[in-house]
Formats: sequence, C-alpha cells, structure tokens
Amino acid sequence: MSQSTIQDIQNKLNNKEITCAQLVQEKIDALNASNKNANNAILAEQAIKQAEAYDKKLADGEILTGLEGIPFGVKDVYLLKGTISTASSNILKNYKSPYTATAIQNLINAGAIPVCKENCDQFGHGSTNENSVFGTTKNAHDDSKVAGGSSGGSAVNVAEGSTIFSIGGDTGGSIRQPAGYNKVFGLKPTYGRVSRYGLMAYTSSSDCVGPFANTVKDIASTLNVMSGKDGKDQTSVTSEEINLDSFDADIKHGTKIGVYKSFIKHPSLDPSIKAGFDALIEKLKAKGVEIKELDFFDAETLTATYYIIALAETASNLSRIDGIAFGSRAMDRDNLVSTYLDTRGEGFSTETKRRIIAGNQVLSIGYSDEIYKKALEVRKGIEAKFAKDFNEVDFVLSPTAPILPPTIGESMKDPLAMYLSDMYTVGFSLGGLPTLSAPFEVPNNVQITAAKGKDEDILRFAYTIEQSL
Amino acid sequence: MDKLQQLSNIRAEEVNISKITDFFETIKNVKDIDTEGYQEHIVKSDNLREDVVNNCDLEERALIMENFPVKQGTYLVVPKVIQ
Repeated sequence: MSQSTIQDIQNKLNNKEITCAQLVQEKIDALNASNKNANNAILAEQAIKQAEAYDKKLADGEILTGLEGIPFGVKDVYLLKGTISTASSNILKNYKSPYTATAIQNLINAGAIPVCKENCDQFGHGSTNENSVFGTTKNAHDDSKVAGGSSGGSAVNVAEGSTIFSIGGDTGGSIRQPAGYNKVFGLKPTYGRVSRYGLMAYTSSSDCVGPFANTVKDIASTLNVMSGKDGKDQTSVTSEEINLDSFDADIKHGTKIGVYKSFIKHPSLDPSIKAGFDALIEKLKAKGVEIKELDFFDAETLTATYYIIALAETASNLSRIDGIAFGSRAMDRDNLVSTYLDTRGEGFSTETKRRIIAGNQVLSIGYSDEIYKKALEVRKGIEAKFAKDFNEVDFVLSPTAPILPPTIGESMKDPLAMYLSDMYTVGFSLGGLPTLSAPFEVPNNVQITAAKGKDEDILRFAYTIEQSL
Repeated sequence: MDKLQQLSNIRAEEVNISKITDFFETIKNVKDIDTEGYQEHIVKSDNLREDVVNNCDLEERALIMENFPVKQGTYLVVPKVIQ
C-alpha cells in the first residue's frame, strides 16, 4: 500500500505527469459515472476553476505543497459558501450556504478542492444511508448492500477513488461504521479537536468532524489541516501538529492493548467478524503486543445512553429549522401553529420526525429526571471507566459493527435493530475519545481507540500495522 | 394530534416512537454508577469569547436573503402571529 495517496498525486502534479484540471475532471467523470448514488451535488464548474489556478501556479515554475490541487468530498451537512447544503432533507433542499464551515475552509485554505456534496442520512439520523431524500447510497463493493451511515456517500467515494479524501461527520459512529462497510480508513478525532462551526448540529456534545482516506498518512495530513482552536466553536481545543515524517514502521514491543469482553462475547456478533478480530489479535501478539481483557458496560446500556442523549439534543438542535427565516415553508396555512406543524411535518423524513418527537418526550416533565438526567449520569460513569482503562492499556481494539452490511431495505423495517448495530461505536462517542476505523483483517474494519487527545498515538500505531501486517 | 407532536411542532400521524422508548427501560435499570475519576471536558465556562457583533459582508447578506422562504423586497415575510 502507498504510504500517502495525497503525496503520490501531488508528486504527479509537480512532475507534470498530469495537470490539476485533468485530475479534477477525472474525478468529476468518476463521480458522474458511479451508480452508487453517493452524491447530492457535483461542483464541477467551481472545482475546474480552482484546478486551473493551481495549473497556472505550476506553469509559473512554483511547486504545489500542503493539499494544493487535491480533490476532496464534503458530506452534505457542512456549509460551503454559495452551494446548496441539504442535510439530505426536503426542508433544506434549496438552502444555499451563506458561509463555509471552519474545517472545510481550513482544507480549502491549504489548497484542497471540494468536488462534491455527499449523500448521507438526513441530519445524521441513520446507520445505513437509507434515510435520505436523495435515495439510498449503495455499498462500494456490493450494490445490494447499504453503504452504512450516516456518512455513507463519503465512504463510498473514497473506496471508489472518486475523491482522494472525504470529510464526514461522526456523532455515534457515522464515520467509523461506513468506513468499515466500505473498507477504507475513517477517523473520529478527539471531541473538540476539529471545530464544528458550519456543521449542521445533530448531537452537539458528541458531533465530530473527521476524514475518510485510503492510507493512515492521508488521514493524518488532513487531520493536521482541520485541527485547531476556533473562536466560533466554544468546545474546540488546541492540539499539536502530527509529524508525519517520524512515523515508525515497526510495531512497538510491549504495546498494551485492551479488549472489552462485553463486546467480543456479545451474542449478536457475526462469527466472521469475530474470527477476523481474533486473527488480528493473534498476529499482534506474535509481534510482541500484550493483550488484556477488560470489563465494560454492556452494549445495550451504551446504546440506550447514547440514543437518549442524542434524541434530546437533536430535538433541541432541529427546533430552529421551521421554514420561517430559511428552508421550505408550508404555504397558506390558517395560522402560525399550522404553518410550523405542516412545514416540519412535510420537511422532515419519518425517521427524523421519530427522533425529534422521542427527544421531546425525553426532555418533558416526567421523563427528564428519570430518563435524560439518568443517561447523563451513566455517561459520566462511562467516561470515568475509560479514564481508568487508559491508565492500564495504550489502546482498546474492537470490531466496528456486530453485523455485516445489511441488504438495502432491511433496516428501515426494524429501526431498533439499526440502532443496536451502533453498539460498538457509541460508547467511544460518549467518551469523546479518538477512534480510527481501519481496514485490517476484520470484516467491517477494526476500531483503534486511545485516551482523549491521543489521536497521534492511534495513527502511529495504525501505521505500524498498515506497514507490517 | 397528540401532545408530543404539538410539543415538537410536527404533524406526524404516521410516526411510531414505541421502539425508541424501549431504551427508557434499559436506562432505568442501570444500577450503581461509578463516576469516580470523571472529569468535566466539554465547555469551560471560564473561557468564553467576547460577545461582539460581527457584521456579515454583502455576499453573505445576499445569500441569507436568497434563503428567505417568502420576501417582499428586502424584507422577510413571516406568517401572521395574531389573527
């Protein structure tokens, strides 16, 4: 595997083996030719114009650095000034972004070229990319299977090579699980490492911006560009730049890995995923890695805690979308209340309405103390347990999902089963921990998690596996 | 229309939330939560930015107005609040 697809392509541009306009056109042609329904919009005109500017720079004798000339995809929940940003919903189907999200702007400032707005589950509400007004995104490797979600389009574009990298959003697994279903790398950084400004909020306390890519170094270089404290996001934090040149290719003897017993012994874990996970653990042991089995919360408690908090926060966050100042408004209703009821009734999908209504129940009198505040207390317990565990081990390894990608249409019949398929990802979201979904050995990828702020350690460890196994 | 739909400002006769409410029983049954070692991490209330007005540029202003669902000239038209 190449160490860095981004570097390889930039070398080709600098060596004049291909022009930037040709590269971007090639990607636009691939996006248009794909049958996966991975994109809500293709930004051909703007992208070619930006590419020509980089070709001029090369013609003037300069060389491209950073991410200059690299085409990338953007999940359609990020604002990109002047483009339609829909969150795959009817209510925002014609909404034009008045500004650009900080993370996306940082990438553009570094020279990357946005080429598409990618299909996703509506407002991040889903694990299969079937909850989209634009239709289902198909899996990159099997047209009959789902792409995963909510950032399904982003994962598929990277897997197909239609974008060099893509930016997804991960609230409870929405980068890691589709990365697994499509066999690419996907990183959920430490909560706050990347600004959320300009990301349409789902669950503000766990929403994270992160990249999909085909190599560990590509994940690291895009993370470097996006990271940083942003005055427009109070929860953002400063972080140190990752030095890609000092990545070591050999697995460090004595690295301590934790494995949660409640995860690997769960009855719904597919035997092929379990076998792949066990095989990876054995290979790591042979390289001198120490494995420690750990107790942890059961998967059902993690899923319930996550969903109760997520429902409450999304009910609150989406209350601003009412068709008054922006979005599609139901016209000619008798009064203001009917306008609200019909605008939101017609503008949101069944799944999104389900989550908003259930979220308002969670926050209402009689449920708030017993359900919502209890979930917040359990979340504190989960975070405390992580803090203890990462005093004993360097990383926790886990499967990304208990099941193989479902057949299209199956999950919408049984929402509870879909929610429970998030059981391995939601806990790390509640903890705000960095987690990489990596295509090593395990069907649907393996998750590598470390303590808060240890994003670089994860990428260094993943690089050793990428290079040596 | 039930009270939750009114509370949510959503007309949604077809929506069934019973599957989600199964989670409520799970959370009620969690016992003995050990929070020792927990550290608050999300928002530091002692590190708030200055509350300042940032005017948008003309391009941003035009885009905001383009998004108005109904407008008269440069004014946003809202539904009648009082009949």
